[in-house]
Amino acid sequence: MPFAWEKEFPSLIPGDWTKTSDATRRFNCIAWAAYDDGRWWWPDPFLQYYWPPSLPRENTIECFVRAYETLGYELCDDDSLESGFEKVAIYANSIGLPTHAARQLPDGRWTSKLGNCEDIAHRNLSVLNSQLYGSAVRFLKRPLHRFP
Amino acid sequence: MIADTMLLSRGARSRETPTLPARQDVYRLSEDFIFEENSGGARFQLATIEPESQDYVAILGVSVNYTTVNAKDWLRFQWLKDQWRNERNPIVSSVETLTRSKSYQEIIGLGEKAIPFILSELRSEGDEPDHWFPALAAITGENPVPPESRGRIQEMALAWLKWGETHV
Repeated sequence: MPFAWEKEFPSLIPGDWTKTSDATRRFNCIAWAAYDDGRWWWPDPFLQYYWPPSLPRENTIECFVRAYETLGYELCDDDSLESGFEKVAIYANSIGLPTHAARQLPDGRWTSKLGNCEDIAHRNLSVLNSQLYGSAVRFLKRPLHRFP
Repeated sequence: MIADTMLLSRGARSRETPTLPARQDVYRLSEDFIFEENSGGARFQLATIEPESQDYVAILGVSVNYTTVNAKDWLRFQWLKDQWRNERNPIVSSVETLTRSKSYQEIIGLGEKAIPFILSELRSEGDEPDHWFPALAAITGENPVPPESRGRIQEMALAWLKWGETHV
């Protein structure tokens, strides 16, 4: 098992994913889903990490949804691949706290930055379902022409 | 076994801060064996590794703005830092989760004594500083990170190191 974190994801099997860049602390999953590879996004109360300035710094699913809405995303029903749109998904754990975000790739796979570790492309959202991440609970989409 | 890079003969001290061994018990330090030396404008904090042998010393770190550190506090910090890094899950993005661990909270509990150690860590970590920022903010009640640097960990580290130049 080449990566220690693989054991965190019981549904993740070889062939389901590929590593797409090396580990770094420079950005996290929330940023990566927003095409930002230069900042760590989190609504911490100490005002250390990046969070869209117009939003409250609250660790809630609603607040994370609003963060992506600032980028032109709107809530949608599911994680299906829709022509002309790109999607992000927000994961939350069993007590409803946001834990992770992933962004859909043009081929229908998803890309995720795993905390301080690597970013990967994975076959679907459910392969990252886990005790730590929980599961995807909100889906948002925006037209592809808004690609930054 | 103590790494060779940690040990320096008395006649061959280096300005390099050596890699620290992971095991706490190799130090066997006490405050009595801490001494300091000024060299070329920089102050090194040195300690004998083995009290029975005065041939070797270890650099504990270049002091931050000439702040004298207590060896027991330093050892406690090193132990807690190792604990935090061993216990945390590296795939976590949540700052709350990253900093909620008992060892991280104990580092915060060290209070102002921890500040020189944390700043020293930030300096040594270079381009990939670790998540020391919530601890610094919690201990000091201050936030030198300008809004445009939030989330940019290198800039955050620089802001805190600059803060340390006038506050530590």
